[in-house]
Order: sequence, then structure tokens, then C-alpha cells
Amino acid sequence: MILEQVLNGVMLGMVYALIAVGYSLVFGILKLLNMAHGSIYAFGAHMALFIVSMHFGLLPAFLFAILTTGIISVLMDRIILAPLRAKNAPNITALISVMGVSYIIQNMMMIIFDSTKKTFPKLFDFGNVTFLGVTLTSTQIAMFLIALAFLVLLTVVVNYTKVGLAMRASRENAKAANMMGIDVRRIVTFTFFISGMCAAVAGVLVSGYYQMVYSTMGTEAGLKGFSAAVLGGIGVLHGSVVGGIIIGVAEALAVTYLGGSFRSATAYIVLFIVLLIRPSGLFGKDNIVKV
Amino acid sequence: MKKVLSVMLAMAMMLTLFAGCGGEKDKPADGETKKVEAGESKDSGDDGEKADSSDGGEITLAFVGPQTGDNAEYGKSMKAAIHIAIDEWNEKGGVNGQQIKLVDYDDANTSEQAASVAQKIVGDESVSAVIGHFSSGVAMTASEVYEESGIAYISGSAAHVDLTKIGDCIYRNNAVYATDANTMLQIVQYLGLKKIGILNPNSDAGVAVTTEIQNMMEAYGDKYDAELVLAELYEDGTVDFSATVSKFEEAGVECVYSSGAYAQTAPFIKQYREKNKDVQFIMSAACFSQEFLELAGADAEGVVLGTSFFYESSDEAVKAFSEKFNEVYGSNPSTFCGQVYDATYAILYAIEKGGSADRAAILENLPSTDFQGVTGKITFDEEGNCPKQQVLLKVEGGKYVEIPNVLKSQTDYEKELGVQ
Repeated sequence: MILEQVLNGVMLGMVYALIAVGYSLVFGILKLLNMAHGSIYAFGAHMALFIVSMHFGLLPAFLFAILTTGIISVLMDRIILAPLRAKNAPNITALISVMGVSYIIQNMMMIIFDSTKKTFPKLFDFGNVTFLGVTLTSTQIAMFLIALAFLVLLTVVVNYTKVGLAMRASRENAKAANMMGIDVRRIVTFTFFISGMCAAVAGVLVSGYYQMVYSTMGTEAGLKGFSAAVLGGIGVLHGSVVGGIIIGVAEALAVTYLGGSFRSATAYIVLFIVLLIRPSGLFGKDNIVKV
Repeated sequence: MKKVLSVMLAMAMMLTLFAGCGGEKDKPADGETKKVEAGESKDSGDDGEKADSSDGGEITLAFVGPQTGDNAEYGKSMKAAIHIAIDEWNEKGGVNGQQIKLVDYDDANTSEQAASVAQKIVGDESVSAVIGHFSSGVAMTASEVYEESGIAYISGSAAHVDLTKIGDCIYRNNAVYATDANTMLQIVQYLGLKKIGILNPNSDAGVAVTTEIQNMMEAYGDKYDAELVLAELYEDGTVDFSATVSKFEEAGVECVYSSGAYAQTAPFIKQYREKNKDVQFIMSAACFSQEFLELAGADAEGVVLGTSFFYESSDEAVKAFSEKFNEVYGSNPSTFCGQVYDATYAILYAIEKGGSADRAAILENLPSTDFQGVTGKITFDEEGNCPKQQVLLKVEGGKYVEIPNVLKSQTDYEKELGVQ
């Protein structure tokens, strides 16, 4: 029983981790909390639903969602955030702006796609697998593996490629990176595109997992994903994964031993306890901000 | 860094607060009603311009229901049903020679919005009576306002027994939880199942129906042969039920009952079916809807539920109503649609009888309501409840099929069981 619940929690945690990395990526470079990420995630899911409903199949839907969501994420940066940065606006201005964007995206989807829950096709179905006496569904396993592969790919890109090096350099010191010939503006654009892609991948996987799409799906998921990012140490990719899994497992165990009404409360209590002990999150570095 | 984090955490907590309000923060929170295209209904919204009912002009009824959010489907379909009732009356010349019109408001099924909408309605002198509000908790918040200002209100969907206890202005044309609970127990016995699991939303409604079932089973004692193995609650907006499913599996339930709205029960059923193909789902009238069948897909197969209205009834009035509803709405009417349709008739009969669309005159004549509606015989007891007789439906081949002569009224059933 407990093993099964822990595994249920791990699967759910992967959902949160997928969303959390999107927060982490942008925060790592811009020190900006992208509150629109939840809505962008829902946007990705709706884009996929749009293509699926036109009977083009899942793979084109997946690609279309990744592309459009990446673009909308870049557009948000170019139209709203880049001008703010150019004017040296304080971070809180950018934060409020992305929250505004979040509402705009969400309500646009509500107008275009309606606010009801819509069905999304199941991604995989090859029966159930029994593992150590625990039954896992194929969707759970497939979701876990794809999410894992995607997160590994992302880590490799950030840590072992030239673009990743440029991203990390921009994170350390944007001015110095610029002087070393790194086009920081392009790196920021690239980061937003990747973060949008993450949102779309998460959106499609989660929609396929729960087999439904709705316009407010980003609110709760975005908040939990954000908590996962903070818990793991925001800006650290593998931290997001661990953070997501901790929150997922906390929720599953809360449902098991305390009942369904304590689900979210328990997740946040775990978050608070971790932050009390390690204020920058599990893997976060205690950076001192020099003024 | 620490500063940034503390700001972010504060934001997170703030957002959690909003999320706690049912994730409805995207709805217009200031009570501003959202206008939804509604045939001829022109909702003026503000209190400035309005038709004068006393000058032999129009009679205005108000409908409030969720037209955005998870439960929007319920609200929109109920509105369509009321429009059908009003059109029928208007076609035969209105009531007392006056034409009837409907104004509609969106409460997004949240108490906050419902309270401010209710204030707006009672402030509008032209409105004669109110129908709607989806959930019990929401309806109860608004009912306080209606009761205070003496305007008749009929709910076609709220099931909390305390609703009509608020006062003399509050009526209901829906089964109360006791009826739902009793129906559930009858279904379990009919199916010959022994181990019951319950999953209800963590709301006024969900907790009340769970308690009702527990009390009823306790009262029946040994006379009733199934046992309640596990009663669970879920948070509004939950999408991942895997942990709950594992818990039910562990407890070895044979059937799961839920009174929740289809937006939540459909994903639950799907996630449960992935692990167990055999468990029996027993739902409430909230899952008697085309949207439930669409959202749950193939997993809806075999689901049974009790409802006081079925569109495939042989009754002529029901047939006519269902046909009209299909024409304007494109799907079959749900129980709630039938019930608000009858509620509209009840109000219009009361206006006809009293010869006046005054709020007080309607209240005077509602208690003596007595007619055959599409949801059975419509009469109100002294509390304002309409006694309901339910029928058993089963999902077969992607549609609802009636299983006749299974469900009895609560009194008959208890007599047969030998309690009381």
C-alpha cells in the first residue's frame, strides 16, 4: 500500500517537475518569476487539443504545441519583458506584467475554447504493469519515462552544450557574458523558447495522462510546479525534479493517511518546513546579492 | 536572494488563498455579471434602466447560474430549459396578458459572486422571482439575500436539506440528500453488492450527503446488508485521483458512490478504470448529462445513477420538452434542466393564480402549487421541498437506459425493509 502510494506520488511529482523546470530556466537567467508559466502550460495543451480535434493525430499536435507555445513565450518576452529590461525597470514590474499576461492568456483560451473540461486522447495504452506487487498503469509509466527523458535532455543541453554554456554564463554575469561575445538577448529569447517548450511538453503529457484539457488547468498546476521549483532550489534543474517528486509524494501520502481534503495543505506544509531548514531550497546556492 | 525568495513565497501564499476559492480567480470577481448570448434575453445588468412590471408591461424572471468555469455547462443548459418554458407561455399569450422575459446572471458557481448577484437582483424592482444557482452552498448564500428581501426563489439543483429551512421564500424542485442517499442504498442492494466506498467533494453538499448515508445505514442497522467500507472526500479542482483510487482498492470496495459534479467524477472514473475494470460506479443526477458521457468516454459504460427525470420517458410532456430542448441546445436535457423548467412553470402558475406578478403575491400562491410537470408531480411541502421519485438509469452503449421498477420512494422502501 505505502509503496503503491509513494509510486503514485512519484508519477504525480513528475508532472509537477515538468512544470517546475520551466520556472527554473527563466528564473536562472533573469531572476524573474514567470507567473505566466501555468497559463502557458495550459496554452500548450489547448494548442495540441486544437490539432487533435482537427484529426491530424497526436505527433503533429505535439510538434505544433511545442512550436506555438515556444513562440508565445518568446513573444511575451519580446513585447513585454524586453522593453522593461531595456528601461531597467525593477523586477516587481516584470512580475506584475507576467501575472497580467497569465490572465490574458487564460481568458483568451476561455473565450476561444470555452471553459468546460474537454477530453484529450490517451497517449499510451499497453495494459497495466505489476511491479513488486504494485499495479501501475501504462499511462503512468509512459508519462514517467518521457518526462524523465525530457528532463535529462534538458539538463544535457544546459550543462554540456555551447548554448548551455552561454546560458550559464549569462546567468552568472550578463554584462561580462556580453563582453565575451555572447549575445545575451538571443540567449534570453532562447531560454524563453525552451521554457515555453517545456510548458507545452508538460501540457501535452499531463493532458494525455488525465485525458482532459480545460482553460484553468494552469492555475493549480502552475502553483504546485512553482512550489516544486522553490523547494528544489529555483534555478537548479535537478532540484525541480526532486522538489516535484517530494511534493507529489507528500500529496499522495496525505490523501492516504489524512484524507483528500488535506492534499494541498500538506504539500505546502512540507514546502514551508523545507524552506525553514534550507531557505534557498534543497539544491539552491546561498547567493549573496551584491548591491 | 533571500529577499527575492521571501517576496516569491508571499506571492505563492497569496495565490494559494485565491486557489482556495475553487480556482475561480479568473472569473470576474467583482460581481460584474457576464452577459452571455441568451436569445431574446437582454440583461441590462445595472439598476438604471428597467422595464416596469406594474404598468402591464413585461414580467421579468431572473436566472442565476454558472455560465463560466467548470460547471458552466449546467448553468447554460438550465438557462436554455427556462427559455423553453417562457417561450411556451409567451406563445399562448403570456401570463395574465403580460409577456414574460428572462434576465440572466453568472455566478460562476461561487458564493462570493452569488451574493453580489443576489443583491443586484433584489435591488431590481422589475424582477418578480428567481430561479437557479447550481450548488447548494452557493444557493444558500444567495438565499439569505432573497429571504431577507422577500422574493421567491426556486432551486432546481441544490440538494442540501438546510436550503429550504432558510425561510418561506426559498423553494426547491430537486431531490434532497436524504432521497439521493436512499436511492444509492437501494441501488447497492439491487445490484447485490456488499462493500460500499464513497467519494464526495469536500463541500457543504459532499459532506452532507456522506453524513446522510452514514446516518441512514446506522438507522437501518442489520436490516441493511451492505457495509460502508471507506468514505473519502476530495478537494474541489482535484484532477489526480491515483492515491484515492489506491486507497479504495486497498479497502476492497465493490462499488463507489459519488455525488460530485461530472467534471470531477469523470476523471476519477477513468483513473479508477485503468486499475480495476470491475468496480461498479454509482453516481447521482449530477452525472446524468451528455457532457459526462463525453468526458468519461468508454469508461462511463456500466455507470448507474438515480434521477427524477429521464428524457426518454413515455410521458407526452417530457417528450415534447426533450424534443424542444434538443432543437435549441443540441443535446438531451439533464435532470436539472427538467427541474428548472418545472420551477419556471410553478412560478408562472403562481402569478396566474394570484393575478399579479408582485413578489408578495407569488409567495402567497407558491405553496398551493400542484401540477404534473416533466419531473413528476410538482407540489411543495411546508418547508418548500418538492418530494421526488427517482428512476434508475444505466449507461449502456454510450447512452442512458432506464431500468424500470427498481427504485421506490423512501417511505415505501423503509416500510419494505421493516424500519420505522
